Amino acid sequence: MSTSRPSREGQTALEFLAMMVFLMILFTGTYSVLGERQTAAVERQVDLQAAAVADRIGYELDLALTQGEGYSREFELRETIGGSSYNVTVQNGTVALEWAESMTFASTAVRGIDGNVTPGRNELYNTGEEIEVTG
Amino acid sequence: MRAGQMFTSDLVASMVIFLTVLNLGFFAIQQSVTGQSQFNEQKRMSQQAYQTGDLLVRTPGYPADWNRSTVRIVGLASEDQVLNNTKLSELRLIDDYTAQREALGVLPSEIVINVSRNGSTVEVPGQNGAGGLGDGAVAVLAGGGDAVADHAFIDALNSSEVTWDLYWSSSEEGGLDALTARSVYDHTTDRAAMADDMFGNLSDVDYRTVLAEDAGVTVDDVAAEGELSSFIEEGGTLVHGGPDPAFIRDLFDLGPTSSGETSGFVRETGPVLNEGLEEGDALEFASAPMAFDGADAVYVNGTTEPGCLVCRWSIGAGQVFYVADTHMSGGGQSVFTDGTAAFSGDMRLVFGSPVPDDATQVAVSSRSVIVNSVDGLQRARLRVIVWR
Repeated sequence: MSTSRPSREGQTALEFLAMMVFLMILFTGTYSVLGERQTAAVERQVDLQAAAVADRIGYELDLALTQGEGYSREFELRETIGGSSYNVTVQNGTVALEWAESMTFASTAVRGIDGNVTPGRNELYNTGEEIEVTG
Repeated sequence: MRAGQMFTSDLVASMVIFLTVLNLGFFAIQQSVTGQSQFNEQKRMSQQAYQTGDLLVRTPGYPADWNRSTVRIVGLASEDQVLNNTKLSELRLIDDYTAQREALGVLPSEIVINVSRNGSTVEVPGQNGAGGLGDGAVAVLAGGGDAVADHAFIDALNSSEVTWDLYWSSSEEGGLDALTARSVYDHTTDRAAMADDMFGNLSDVDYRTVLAEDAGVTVDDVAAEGELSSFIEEGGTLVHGGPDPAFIRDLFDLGPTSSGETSGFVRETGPVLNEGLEEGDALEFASAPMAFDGADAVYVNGTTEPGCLVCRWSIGAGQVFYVADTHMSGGGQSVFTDGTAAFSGDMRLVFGSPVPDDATQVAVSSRSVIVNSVDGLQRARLRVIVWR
């Protein structure tokens, strides 16, 4: 009576299992490293978007301040940052932009404003005493 | 027992090919994401350069009558659209490069601003101490074997209102107590200690100008030569008078050079030259260790040999002057300026730190401006370069 067939089937199964384990380890490792790098890169892009918006707000406020009383300008800001809504505060020469659970800052010579800078369309008006913002 | 049939050579080969293709795909995706991030970084810097240029050229700044102490927003425009020379001088006089960047709102990026016409940097009359040989505090390096009274730089500063410090290594000690210097660093006969002390102070003290007369400093002495190069490139001025000009030749790669002749003539008046000298005047230097070719400005040329005996190079935002000898042969009138008019002469319109070859991000914004230059009202180009 021959006993070779059952031995071959057993060996094949073992080798298949070994190959699957090897592939799973390989793919898990690769995806984890790549996934981490991509996440970091996307986060960096979102941070840059936020910083660009904060810089823009600082610039528009500075421009309004230097142009003096009667200056008025409309400008548009992006609606979201990284897909999340955001809010802006201007206080003591700092533009603080908060989104998701992150924050970025830009500087401005404007100490405080009347109104709030919001995503989308904003209008600045220099009254001579302060900068009014309507969004 | 015979082996199973999973790990055949076909399977191994196909796995290798599959994994290679997969890795290439992952690599391409990674490169694309990195590239997108760099693009956004570049875009942000371009925005920064544009906004800075806009505020400089379109607004008077804030407050409108700002100066180096009160500035909150730097703006250079005046009502008639001509760049305001007083504000250009005040921008130069803002404490240091970091304070300038903060006032311009570009931190943590680096910046260089220049105003040029037909490829040459525009010069305007400096005001409030800006321009000429510089402004702010002056550091004097003096050595050799001469007494205090025999040093032209010391003589000029001692009767001025300029704030200055003396670093002394001459073998003659007398007369140090009677000087108007803010500080005297006495390293009598110890040239290397004098150089170490002075160049080590460059980044800590408010110097704008360094005058080295018979200092005998060599490149080997300068432990902080990187500090000196940065000091010049970020707007400082160095005037080297007397022997051992190999120091500036080697440190700043100036030249070519040739043996200097002691006879020369004034080709052009300038901030380092005595106010009594006029174009065409003949000079007889007490000595002339070296003559240079290829300088950006030549004030005194050799009479028979090519090469300048008093000249200037622009290096970054700063400048380096060479004076073959501050004394005339037979004594008498000094070659060097005898007044402080030199410290408030014409000012070159370049501010900040020049872009190095290994900068990773550079953004440029350019504007057409009108400048009241030393040659009158001119249209010029103001460039703002933000870099990292």
